[in-house]
Amino acid sequence: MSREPSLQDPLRFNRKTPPCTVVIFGANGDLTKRKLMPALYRLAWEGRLAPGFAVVGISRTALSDDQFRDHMRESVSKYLEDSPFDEELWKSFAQGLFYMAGDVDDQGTYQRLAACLGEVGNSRETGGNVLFYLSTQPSQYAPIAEGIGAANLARGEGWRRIIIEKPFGHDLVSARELNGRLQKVFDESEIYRIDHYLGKETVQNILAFRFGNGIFEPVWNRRYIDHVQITGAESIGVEGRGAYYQEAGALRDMIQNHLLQVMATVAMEPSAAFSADAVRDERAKLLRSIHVMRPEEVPDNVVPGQYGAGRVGGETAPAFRQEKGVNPDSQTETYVAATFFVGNWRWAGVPFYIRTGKSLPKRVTEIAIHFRSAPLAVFRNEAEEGNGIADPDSRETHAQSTEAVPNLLILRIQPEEGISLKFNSKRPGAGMTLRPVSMDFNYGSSFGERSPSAYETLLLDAIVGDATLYTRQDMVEASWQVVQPILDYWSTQKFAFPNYAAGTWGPAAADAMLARRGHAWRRP
Amino acid sequence: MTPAPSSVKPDRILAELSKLWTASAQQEKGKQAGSGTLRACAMTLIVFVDDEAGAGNGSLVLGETLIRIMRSHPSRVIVVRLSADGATLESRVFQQCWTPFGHRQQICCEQVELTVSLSRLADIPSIVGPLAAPDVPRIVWIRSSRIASAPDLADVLALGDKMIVDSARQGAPASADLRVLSNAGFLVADLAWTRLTKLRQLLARLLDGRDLNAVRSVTIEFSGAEATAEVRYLQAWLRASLASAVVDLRHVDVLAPSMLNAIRIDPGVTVRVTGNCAEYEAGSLKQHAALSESSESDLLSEELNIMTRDGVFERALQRMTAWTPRS
Repeated sequence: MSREPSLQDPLRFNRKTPPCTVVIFGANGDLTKRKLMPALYRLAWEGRLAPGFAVVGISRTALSDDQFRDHMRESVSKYLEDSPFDEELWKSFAQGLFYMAGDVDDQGTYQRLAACLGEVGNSRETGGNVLFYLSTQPSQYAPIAEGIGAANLARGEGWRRIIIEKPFGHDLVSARELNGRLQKVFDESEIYRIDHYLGKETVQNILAFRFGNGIFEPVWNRRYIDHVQITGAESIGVEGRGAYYQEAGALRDMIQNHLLQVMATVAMEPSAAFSADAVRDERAKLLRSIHVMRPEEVPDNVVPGQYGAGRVGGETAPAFRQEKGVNPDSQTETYVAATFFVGNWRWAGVPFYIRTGKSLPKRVTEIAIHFRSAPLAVFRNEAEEGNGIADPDSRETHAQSTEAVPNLLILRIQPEEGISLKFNSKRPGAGMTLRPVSMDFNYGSSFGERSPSAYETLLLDAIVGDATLYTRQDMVEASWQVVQPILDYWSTQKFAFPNYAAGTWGPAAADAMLARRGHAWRRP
Repeated sequence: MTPAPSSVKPDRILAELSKLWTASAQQEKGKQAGSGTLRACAMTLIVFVDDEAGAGNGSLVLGETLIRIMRSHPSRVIVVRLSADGATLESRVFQQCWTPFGHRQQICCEQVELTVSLSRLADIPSIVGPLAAPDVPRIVWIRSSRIASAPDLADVLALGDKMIVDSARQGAPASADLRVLSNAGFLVADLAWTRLTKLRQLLARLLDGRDLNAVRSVTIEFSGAEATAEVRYLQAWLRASLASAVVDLRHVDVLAPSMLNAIRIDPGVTVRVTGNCAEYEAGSLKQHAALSESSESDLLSEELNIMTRDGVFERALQRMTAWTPRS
């Protein structure tokens, strides 16, 4: 049988990417400089972009193509991580960079963009494929999409896709309104809502861990799991983002998007296939299964916090209200601890504790699965009965042997990506004394390979049309539905902020919330 | 088979390894939580090296390669040093440890070194087999020219799930030998082929979307006294992939060591290779691509990622051996 000619080698070659033009609105902004352009250059360095790849940058500042290239060169060489800067490759990459000054509120900008895309498409042989990246203020998302639509740029010879960054609205109503306006121009399948948490290797690894192994799913339910703790802690304060953060707060900034998506990944049902829609259907179903709190349930299940002055990492840290751009009487929460329940057969009655905060003692993102204790404390009983299994003369030994610590599975997302399983083991020597030990899998040491940045992963996915790691509108709405009652209730309250010192693990009320159910926060 | 001297009994070597870990744990006692030692092992890598090549500077190079490999593929490494004469059979065990930047926890892999004279090669399977870590892949890396002609080679190769050679090295098994092994069911790999991955990927990208049946001819230009293993693999791959194209080699006189200079594809694509860079012309595009030089550990690492049959390589291997180089 003769074979079709092919030069592909799927075992060794990177994923095939189609040629395209990436149009970046906000091309002079920080995100473009720090994240997008270094990610695109790195993809080019790895040979992952098609030869005809091009970028058209748009912002208000008047720049020539060459000036834009110079600016980008400076940014890439400054912010490129784990990669060499190759002058020859840059020259080649820079040939595909173009710039257009324009005001996104001016329809003429889009007409000129249409002409520019035609020229670039011809010269770079992009096949008419265009990816619009909105690296702008969220308030400009809808007007830009409408400008693109009015200039007939949302349809063309090749495919058209649009990427937007969070926040997707500031509440449920505005999220729906934004979606309505975007969908008048783009089909839902063409809208890529970026949540860079989902692009992290270890978040993706949760899926591999759960569904690529046979031994975990059978115990991944209410029968064996006592509770789950999800922590997204930052050791820094708002660091110059005070004005933005004051409007957003921790609930909107972290929980509504990142941490609820992480929770959905941990708790979702297995999908029938690893396809974008199948995986996202399951995530969305999980988000819709989270119990939406009634107003009277909020105080017992959600604790807001705001940091006061304190010490972080041996340095004095100011209070949130002392940060630049922050109202001295601000009621914005910089910390949230919440208890969520999932109303399905797998998780009924299992608390999911989520906490996030700024100016906490360390930067860490992790998921801790606390398993139920062994049904019978055999070692404890035997020791207490003095039958000789444990040393009856040693109080210390008794204490250790009788505290058979429940098993704990830690999925660490950052900074040291990996998985640890804590279990009890017999201490060497006479007597049955138990000691918790840890079995560690360290992502870096097991693979030793550089993990692509979240932006590299997500940009490449958008170019090849894989939306698995992007958020769909029904997921956005479902997570807003979970947090909206909390926002509504808080809007009627006045909190006695600050209620935790910078450098501590949050307000005492957050500890009390867990203590009521006999639990305690893990100290990561 | 001569019984193994007591000094290299596998049980004793395994006991020595165990002692190393116990000693590590003793040293870590009382240190800060989260530090300690992580024992890492995802495969067994059995390396055959000529004793003299693995001494002095050669030993440093090999050691550096193994350290890098352990970081990307934590392994129990068993280095078998083959000496030409005598009845030597010696062993030693040690750990390779490192602490990743910014981490407190030290990561350690195990290394066993055996020095064996060629006359004792038949003893190797009975020693190395029990030393391999259970339930993880075993890879045999032949870095020795001495073993290539050994009569007990098949028994030695049967130790591994995959065998890796570098036919560009002097005295290494030739591609014809690899074909025989491949046909016999062994998973084989050749680092001379692995060196081509970046260039092959670039060619595939440049021709992506084109009608490959329309490619009439490909000329591979090389310099040096004769076509290297890489050049011949490239030709074989293109012949296997582009059935309707004539793929020829052309010697060019340039003042350069033996190397690949250019690939001219009719119609319309030219790739010139200069050092670590490729300059290509395809249609109206004229660009550069990085072909950064791959170290031995990079090449090995790529092969360690592939533990299934590699159909593309095997097809190229079949085509390569059917071709006779011009004098």
